[in-house]
Amino acid sequence: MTEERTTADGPQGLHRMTRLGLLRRGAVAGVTGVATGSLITIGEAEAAPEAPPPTLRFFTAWEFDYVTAMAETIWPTDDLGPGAREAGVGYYIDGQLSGSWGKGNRFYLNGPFYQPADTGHGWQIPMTPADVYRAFLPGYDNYVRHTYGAPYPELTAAQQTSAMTDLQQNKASIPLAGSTSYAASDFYALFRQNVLEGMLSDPAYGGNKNMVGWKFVGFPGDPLRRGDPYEDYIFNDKPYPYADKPLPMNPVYAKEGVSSAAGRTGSGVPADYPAKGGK
Amino acid sequence: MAVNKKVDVAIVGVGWVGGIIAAELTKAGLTVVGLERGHNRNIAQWQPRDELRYAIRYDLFQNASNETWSFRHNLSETALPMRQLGAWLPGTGIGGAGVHWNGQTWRFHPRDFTIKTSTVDRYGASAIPANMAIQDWGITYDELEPYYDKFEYMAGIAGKAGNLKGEKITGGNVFEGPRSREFPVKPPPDTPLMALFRKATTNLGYHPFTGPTANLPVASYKNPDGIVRGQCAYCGFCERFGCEVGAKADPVGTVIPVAMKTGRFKVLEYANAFMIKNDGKNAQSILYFDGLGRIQEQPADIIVLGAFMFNNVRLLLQSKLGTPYDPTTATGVVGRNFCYQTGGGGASGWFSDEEFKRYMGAGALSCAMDDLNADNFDHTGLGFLGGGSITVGQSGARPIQSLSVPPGTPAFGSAWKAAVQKYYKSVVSVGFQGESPAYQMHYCDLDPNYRDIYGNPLLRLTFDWQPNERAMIAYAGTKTLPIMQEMLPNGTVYKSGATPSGDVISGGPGALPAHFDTTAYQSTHITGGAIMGADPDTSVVNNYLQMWDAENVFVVGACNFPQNAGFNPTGTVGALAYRAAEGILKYHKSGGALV
Amino acid sequence: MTESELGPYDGQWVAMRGDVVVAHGPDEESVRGHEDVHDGDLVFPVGEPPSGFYLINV
Repeated sequence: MTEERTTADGPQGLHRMTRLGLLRRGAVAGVTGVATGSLITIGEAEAAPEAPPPTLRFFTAWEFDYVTAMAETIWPTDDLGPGAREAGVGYYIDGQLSGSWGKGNRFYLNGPFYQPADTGHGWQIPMTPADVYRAFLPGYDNYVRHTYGAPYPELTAAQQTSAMTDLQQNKASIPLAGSTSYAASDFYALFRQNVLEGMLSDPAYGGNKNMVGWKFVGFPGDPLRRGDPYEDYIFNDKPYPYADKPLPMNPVYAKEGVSSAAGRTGSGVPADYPAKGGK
Repeated sequence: MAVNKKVDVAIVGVGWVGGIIAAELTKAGLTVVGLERGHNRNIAQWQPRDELRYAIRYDLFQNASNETWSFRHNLSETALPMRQLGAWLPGTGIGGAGVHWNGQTWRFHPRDFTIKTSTVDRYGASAIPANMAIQDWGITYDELEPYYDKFEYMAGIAGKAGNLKGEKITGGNVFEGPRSREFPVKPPPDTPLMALFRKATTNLGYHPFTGPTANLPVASYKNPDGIVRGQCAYCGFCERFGCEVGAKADPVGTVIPVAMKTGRFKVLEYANAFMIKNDGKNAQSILYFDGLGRIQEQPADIIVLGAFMFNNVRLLLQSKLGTPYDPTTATGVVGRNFCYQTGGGGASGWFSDEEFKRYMGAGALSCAMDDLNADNFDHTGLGFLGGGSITVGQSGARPIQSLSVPPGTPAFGSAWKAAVQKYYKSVVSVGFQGESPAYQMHYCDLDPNYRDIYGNPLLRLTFDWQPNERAMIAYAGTKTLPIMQEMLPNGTVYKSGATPSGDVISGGPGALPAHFDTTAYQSTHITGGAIMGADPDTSVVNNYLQMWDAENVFVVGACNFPQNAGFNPTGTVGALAYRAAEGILKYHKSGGALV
Repeated sequence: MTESELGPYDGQWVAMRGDVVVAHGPDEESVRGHEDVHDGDLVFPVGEPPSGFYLINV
């Protein structure tokens, strides 16, 4: 019998997910807690019925699959814990590329454009991050299939590491890269940075699902949500009891009665705060 | 074009400079309008401690797509735009960068203000490289001391004096200039990390002290204006973030409300100043784009440029106020002596068996030493001038940007992941923040090719690392390494090709990149371009920050620094703002050149 | 007025006299010991610092 496939060649050689692949990819739960003003434990939130996976707003299914596989190479699932796939890094990056950063909101994209004569000038191409992902992934896929014989998601872990290293060391030859304006290693740096963000940003952005990233490194999230200032711990060696019980910034998780740190301000500072513009 | 009602004083920029000057002038009865290109902001907007939004997506900073800078390393290159923010992160909005700074508050050394004279006296004129353009400030530390004091008491700076009226005090910075009185607030205690650095540097014969901080370490502080602020929570979201608690001194919580309360201060939001209308000797008004892009005019008797360094200089060039600097002849003044901050030559340690709770912190919570800064040590035979402050800080290790692993660790995969988990809680850096001397060929002018969102030319910067700074950073690394070794005695100093494990140290002679890297964040301490001095041929303003060329124009900020010292600039910027306020009041009363 | 181009020496040590590179090599000793290097020449490495962060967030 033919091997169960999670991807298949579709028209124009495009890969598409088979039904099996979609099922295996699984669902990513959203936060379903209702704001009640009491501290919802993370356990309660995790036990809530899983919402369907987020809708992709930028990536095609093929791109999502590719990026998720690449992200798993950066931050793999292993004995130490979940990797990028489970954390939802693919959804995180999808969200970013569909949003204002991905569309170059804060990039100065006016010409003229020159290839830099020396190092240190950074981004000098008329593309946005979304453009870059869309343009580079098929080029990288071409290189990977040529060099390793299969698309990235179907390679062995060792091959994937090698293919990623080729990007890192600028050995992968990709059209549009290979100039002083933009190199394969520039794409690697951009991608790796996005993976770190996807593992360690607040879960509101679609990654760091159930705060697996924060729990892994031991980052407690937003301290003021808990209402316990750090000053009882920072000047001594007392272990902080909540280092592995992180809280995100969603106020749903705040300790009862703690909606902000307003109670800590001095008496002279009003809660609704200056600076009222003179009109 | 609408013409607003004329006021006594119009200020471009409502950050520290604009806020301080507005408060002082309105308290004295003057009417003041502040023009802020950004919008009104308040503490409720700074609730989310969201690393991605603020630290990485730059929510509080200038939007490069509207306005950025072009950059070239030397005069023969075509300058290319900085298409994203990178090396520096200027702010926008009410409060400016004063909202999202860390809070480190220093005084420059007495020698810094007379750097040219002092260097020649000690080492001879030939010690200064031919193209290095360091010059004296036209003001001494002693003359500026009362204004430093005023800023520190307004902002409630916490620290311990190391020199009180000439008497050196152990535990403070014994290299600092004399203070007339103690800090207004006692310093915070040491974290275990700070204590480790203090012990190591003391053992090596240095003189460590707690870094002076604007992150209030006591329950509350009431400043001379009656403003009360509350205590720092050490949440670790300081730099790049607004302080929801009000513990970090910022203009929004201190000086701007004082000005507002007088009823004589009005802020125009979304007011992007682009021209000072002038006849060469007298300025009449500020032309600005309002929020709808229409040109408006704000007339005033006195005009103050209190914006970020870049914007002050650009405004002068755009307005043809003052003679633009020509680097080939070293004549002219506007744009000259553009400097930065020289960082590098630090050492890192990865402790295999420690938990420093690094996610806890405050922006200026640190232990520092000044022994290797400025001219605090003998440079004979070293081949370079200047030095820097050496610090271990605990400002908060937000995870996305704090995943440092030992050299030799792969950059991804399971081995990297294991190292991240092992060392996130315990990696430490001993940092070096060095001086940035001025050079003849480093300057600002208007770019010929690239424009901002309004069609006005971008500011063009010409700058690169020079041999002096490279030698300084190489030297710094030879000094920070032994400190780290003292802090981590079991640490193996990493050698290329080894596989790191256990306690690892990285350090040794420091290197700067072949060319200045505009993409890696280094520091937002950019200085110069409208420098102060004693001589109108080589400076834009006198020591009241009044323009030599146009007596009713004051230009204030880090733009006034003829070169940058080995410390963060805000304390000195604040002092200059109080000095300028005094000058403006004098001028308002009697007119004429103040110097 | 232009500095001697240091790009080709990325990752190496150099010795400079004024604005001119007079010697380069893989490490400090080889450069300091180079016959063309005199007292008073500046000797330093070029390139990215070894990994780890050195700068205080400021």
